[in-house]
Amino acid sequence: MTQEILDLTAPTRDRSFLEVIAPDEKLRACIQCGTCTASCASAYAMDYTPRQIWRMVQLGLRDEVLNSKTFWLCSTCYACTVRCPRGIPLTETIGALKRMAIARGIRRYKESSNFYRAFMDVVRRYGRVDELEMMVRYFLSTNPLAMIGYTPLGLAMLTHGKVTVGEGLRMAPRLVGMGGTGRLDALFRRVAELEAKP
Amino acid sequence: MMDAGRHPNIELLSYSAVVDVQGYVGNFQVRVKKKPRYIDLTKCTGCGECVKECPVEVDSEFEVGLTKRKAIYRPFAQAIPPAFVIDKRPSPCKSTCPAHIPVQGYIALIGQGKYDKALALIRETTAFVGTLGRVCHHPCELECKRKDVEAPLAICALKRFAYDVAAPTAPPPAPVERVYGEKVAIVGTGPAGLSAAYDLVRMGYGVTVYEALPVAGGMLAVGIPAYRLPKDVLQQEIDYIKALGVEIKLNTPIGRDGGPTLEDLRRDYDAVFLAVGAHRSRQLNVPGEDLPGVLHSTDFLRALNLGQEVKIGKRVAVIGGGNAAIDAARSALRLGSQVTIVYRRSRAEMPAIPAEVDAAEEEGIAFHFLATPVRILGENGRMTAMECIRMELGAPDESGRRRPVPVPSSEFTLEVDTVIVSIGQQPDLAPLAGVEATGWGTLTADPDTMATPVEGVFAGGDAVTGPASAVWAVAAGKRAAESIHRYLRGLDLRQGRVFEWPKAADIQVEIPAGIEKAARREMAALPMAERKSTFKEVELGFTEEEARAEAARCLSCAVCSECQECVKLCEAKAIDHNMREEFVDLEVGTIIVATGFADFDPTRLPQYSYGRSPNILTGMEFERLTSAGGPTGGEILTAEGKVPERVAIIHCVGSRDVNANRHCSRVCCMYALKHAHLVREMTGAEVYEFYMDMRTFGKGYEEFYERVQEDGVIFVRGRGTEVRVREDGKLVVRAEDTNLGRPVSATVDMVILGTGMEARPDADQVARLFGLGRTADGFFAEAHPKLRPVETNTEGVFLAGTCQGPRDVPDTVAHASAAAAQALALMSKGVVTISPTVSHVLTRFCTGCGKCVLACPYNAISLNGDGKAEVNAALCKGCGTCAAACPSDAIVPLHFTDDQLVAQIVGVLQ
Repeated sequence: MTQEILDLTAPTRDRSFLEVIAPDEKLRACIQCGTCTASCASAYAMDYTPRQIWRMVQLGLRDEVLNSKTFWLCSTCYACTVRCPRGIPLTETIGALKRMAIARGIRRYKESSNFYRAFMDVVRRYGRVDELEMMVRYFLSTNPLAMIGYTPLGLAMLTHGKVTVGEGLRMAPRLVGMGGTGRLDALFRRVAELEAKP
Repeated sequence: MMDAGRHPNIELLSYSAVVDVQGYVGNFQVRVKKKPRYIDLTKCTGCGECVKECPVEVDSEFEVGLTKRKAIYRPFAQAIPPAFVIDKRPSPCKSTCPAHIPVQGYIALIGQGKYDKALALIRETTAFVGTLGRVCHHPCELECKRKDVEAPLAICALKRFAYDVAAPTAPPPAPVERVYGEKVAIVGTGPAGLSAAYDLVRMGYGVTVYEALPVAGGMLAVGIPAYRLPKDVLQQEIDYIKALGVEIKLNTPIGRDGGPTLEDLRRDYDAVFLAVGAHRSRQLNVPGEDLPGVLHSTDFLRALNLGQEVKIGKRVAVIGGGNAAIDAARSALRLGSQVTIVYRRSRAEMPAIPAEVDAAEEEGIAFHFLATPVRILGENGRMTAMECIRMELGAPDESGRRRPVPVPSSEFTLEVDTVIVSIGQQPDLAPLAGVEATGWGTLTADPDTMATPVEGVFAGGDAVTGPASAVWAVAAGKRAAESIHRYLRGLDLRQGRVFEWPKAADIQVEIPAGIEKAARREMAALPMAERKSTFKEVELGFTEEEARAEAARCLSCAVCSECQECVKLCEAKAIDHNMREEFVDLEVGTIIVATGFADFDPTRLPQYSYGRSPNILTGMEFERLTSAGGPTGGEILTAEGKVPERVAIIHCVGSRDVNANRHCSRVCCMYALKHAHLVREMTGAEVYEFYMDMRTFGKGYEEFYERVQEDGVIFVRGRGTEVRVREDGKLVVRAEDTNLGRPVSATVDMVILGTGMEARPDADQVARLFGLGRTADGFFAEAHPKLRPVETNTEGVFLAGTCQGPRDVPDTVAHASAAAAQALALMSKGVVTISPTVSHVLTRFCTGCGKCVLACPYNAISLNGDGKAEVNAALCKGCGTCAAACPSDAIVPLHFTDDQLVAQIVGVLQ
């Protein structure tokens, strides 16, 4: 492995990245102690430790950060935020990174982003989650064949009442009256408009 | 420290606290509260003999809870002064006991198997050990803090045990030598009269006690049945009092039947104590009360106790709900009758001891609550039945209990042939010509001193209070004895006496965390068949094992139990358990505040699991562990007594953390390095040291860091994030090795938390006392962070050491020397230079409203004798707040008057 010298003064460094991701000044005060990493249940599976991500955000290494797996693995347990000795809202920063990655269409870890997408689409339509439909949408968007492998598990969960079927079917007749979209649709559209503005 | 302690110009007020500071630079008046040490500093040689027999152990503060100390102790080996101190706090039991018997003391002695000493200790307060151990209504047990764990201690039964096991073999007492010529006459041999006699004879007075009845003991002898208090127990205790030199004249009533009158006693004796009790029974005042078969409980019990023949019928009704009613009912049952108790209120309102009511019920006595007799029916001069009416509880009366009201047309009839009336007693005052009575028919006496309006005559017990409990009578007798002593010696009856002890509810006692529950022991009882047919004692007392186990439950609330063992051991006679707190007023010119810091309590950060394993230590605890005088004699061992193989050290616990303290405590990096070095050197264990930044500031420190690195300590640059206690007791530390960029863990036998320094929890109080400011971190504020780090905003008050901020030993010494130099500079000059910018009062405009007094942040303004504001120029800082507050522009800051300010503005504009 070779080490490329990182030119801290290079024009390619996105100097506004930190500002966009973490508008308050807290993240600038990160002391790189690693409390976040050691508190994180998913850190073992990450390509960069959370602490390294903050450093990269501080230095404006935008593309490296957005293409990393780290923030997609956050389960929003808030352990890092609770323990951070500088009181930095780290979980919120992770959320900002996820939103930016989706907005920029970075598809490298689409398992995660598509999962969020499937969830939001179902909520947008019915105002609640139809678990079966959500899983179908998720698998169709990632790897439809994987559904076959999961069928026995899905059936077992159904028979034990761990997932429900039919929320969507029950809602369907009413949706016809609304032109196929749910009542939350307007809300989602408005938010999308707001987010699209610079 | 030694030098300071010995210096002729240094007066050390240890075990003391400043409670008030008045005045200003050069003229401070400081009031100091000296806590009672209970040891005379001029006599104590510090030999340590006293500690040997002390039965109380509590956590040692100096060893941060790693070892125990006794109630009498020296805080640490090098303490200045080297004298001992007794840790004594109020205890609910002794405070609640009307006679203030040192309960915790005899319980501690019983727990150690020193039964004769326990008996002797109780006898210092009262002669009625076996008696109170049987009949006391033990209010102490209601307040015993152990009730917050599971149940109060069986205090009363333990007192009885001390008597039962030790009294038979105790040597008979020798007569007390007369110290004073005066003689005291006491009327009545009940618990009040004999308690006064016991105390007075021991003080050295001549005491004669007059008794109308053929036996001594008052109600204890003729009111309480033998199944509760065997005759021989009471007689032995009276014999004990007699053996000390008390003369008892039986069959000698006062003021009747040819006995001496009160006037005779006042003439022949120097003081008189009236403790005649309350033996006259109240009447029912219902038709048929004069029928044969209507008895009074006092007469019934007296006759039984005197061995006279008593005739009662087969079906007996006892009227009343007090102890006398229960005693009469249980006695009647033992004579073979069927007994019913009729009481006008409900069970909850019964004044009798609840355990006695339960025992009566167990023995088969029936109860009619909320009922009262209205008529006693007879035929041919013989009783046939009693007509009662049902009652209900109405509004509370003056005693706080709900007053019973008859329910109309609810009469019912009980078929009985004997009625025993027990609805209250009064003293018989008729023969005592010259005394004053209250509206209740009791004697008038001061409730504190027991003095009556008649010169030289004192009174106490049931005769004053109406029927009460034996221990109240004992307490009254003791108070009267002290008052009579003071009266005879011409001393003030009240001065220096404590009449009101702290209320149990106001006594704070911390129950140790993780205390194991232990059931309260109950005494074995006589088999039911024997209980119902004989007057044998019902309760059988504790066995030795039961007593020791019960005594072990004591929480030692007072720490010192006042068992007096130390007093016996001290050859220098330096111990005085009666010391009181004192106040000392000092006039001083300057003040140096050096109140130190508090060690951060790591339980506030639960991720470090402090308290969940004995092998997770604070820096301070580890420091004690490595001390040659510490709990392990200086060896580094785990709680299991093993040498650790791996040790983790975590920096910045409670420091540099928004969740605890934001500031850097400055000393922890260096002490953590020292700990790492000690562990490596003394045990060879692997050491993992987790740090964020290594702050090795100043001379020689970085060099030491380098040496510890070379010792082989494994440094991990990353905050020690959490400590998990594994099931096998091992400790797992997690962190990120930020140099590697990888999460890491270390499994170790011991964790040392580098706990930081913070302001003491009482810093706020101290700040107010001395007029100090505080910085955001809680430490006391210096006058200027760079240029005036020793002075405060209150002139003449200086700061030294960690009360101002975290610092290590050399910096603290330097800071303290600077404070001393500043104080000396002021004092050697003898005068203070003040700024001319001070406030000035224009007296003719001042209305004396006092607004400026309240507004002044330096307490520099007061109202003088003319009701005008007056500025103390030595205190005034010229801030101008008063000028802004004054509604009539009567106070101005010199050099900043309105005219001067306007002139300046005009000048600028030109």
